[in-house]
Amino acid sequence: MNMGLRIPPSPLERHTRLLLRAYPAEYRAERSGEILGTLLEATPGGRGWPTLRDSVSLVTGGIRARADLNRRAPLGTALRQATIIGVSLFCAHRAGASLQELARMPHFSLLPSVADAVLLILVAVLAWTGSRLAVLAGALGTLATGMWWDQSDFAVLATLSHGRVHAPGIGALLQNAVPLAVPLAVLVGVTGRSARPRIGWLAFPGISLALALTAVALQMWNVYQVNAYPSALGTALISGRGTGVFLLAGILAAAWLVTDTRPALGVAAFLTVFTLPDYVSNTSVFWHDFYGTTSSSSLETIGAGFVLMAALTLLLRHRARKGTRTVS
Amino acid sequence: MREPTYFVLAALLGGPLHGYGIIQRAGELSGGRVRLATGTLYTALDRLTAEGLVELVSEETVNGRARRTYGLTTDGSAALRAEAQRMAQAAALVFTPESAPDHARPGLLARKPRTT
Repeated sequence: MNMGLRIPPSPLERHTRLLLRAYPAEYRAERSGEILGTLLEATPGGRGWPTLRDSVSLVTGGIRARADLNRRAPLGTALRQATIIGVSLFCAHRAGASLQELARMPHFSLLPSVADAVLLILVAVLAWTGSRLAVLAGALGTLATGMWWDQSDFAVLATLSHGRVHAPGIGALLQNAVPLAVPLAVLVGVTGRSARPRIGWLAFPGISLALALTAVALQMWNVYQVNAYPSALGTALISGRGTGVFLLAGILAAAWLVTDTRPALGVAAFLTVFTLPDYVSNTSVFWHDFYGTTSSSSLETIGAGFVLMAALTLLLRHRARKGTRTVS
Repeated sequence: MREPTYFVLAALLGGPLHGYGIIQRAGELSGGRVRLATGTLYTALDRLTAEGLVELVSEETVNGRARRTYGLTTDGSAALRAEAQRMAQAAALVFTPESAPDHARPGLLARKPRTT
């Protein structure tokens, strides 16, 4: 009796299912069985892979289906999702910078800033759950830790151990708290169940953090093994410039590939919260201190990237609107 | 209207068909010239359904997979005929000289072009 036995899928079916992953999950759930059936009928027996024409058509068809899905999302939802992507990038970047600071000057007095970094990562992840209350709690916790750190004896210890200029008081508190409070408040504002970005976009802040952690590993290796930067890549990672270039290149490519404006808008949001405080207050000492060797020239590069992103975003939106009007 | 779209609609003139049926019929009607790739077919079907030119007629399960049958709507039929008429008029310019406007008649076309 063969009842209940499941016939294993043929190599052709397995490979076709792999190609069908180009389609969005919602589309696949509804149509993949039908498309697979048609392809199996149309493909001569004995083949392990679909023909090249069929393979290309499935991948391009998947990209078109994704673009179509993105076009149907209201602009408001896209903007909210983009802001979540952007501010999460900021949180990951700032958390990475704190960890790099600890790696550069390992000292117990920097532990509160590590707690701050962990909380930032938590807040960024919570934004993906769509729970505004959880994000609010995480944001308040992060700010409280940051304020306590600024006012605590640890800050004085850090000043002594690092030779940094630290001026406790309300001015310094505002200078440090505002650049963090504003993006976190924006994050609380845009989070909601109706604006949860797809989990795949979490890869962008994830990659940003992974790059920072790689830089931390390289720094640790430098401190304890070799007293010099091991490579140009290491230097780029440590300076944060490589991270910025990587983000711009990767997200630009993704934006074009899926004709989705969200990554472009997300990077624009990230670059805004990353660069604007510096342009507005010109407190280069603070930013230099917090972001390692971030210089004004790299900030200008990032600023130019922001303009490029904004232009690209508008172009993509215009193209998407034009696409919906075209009848062929 | 692009050629694959035209032949997808033309394939449904004889009655509703499922995906593979449309691929086969479009190939026959075009003398083997239009070979619809699976992804291209479904992209076209999605678009034509959204535009109201094609509709889902029935759905069944074959070998554990959904098989949907598509048919032409009234609008689809009208769009196909309008496109065929447009192409026939264009073809008439070449094959029936008397129906062509003055500037497109063979006699006029045969004139030696003016060189400047």
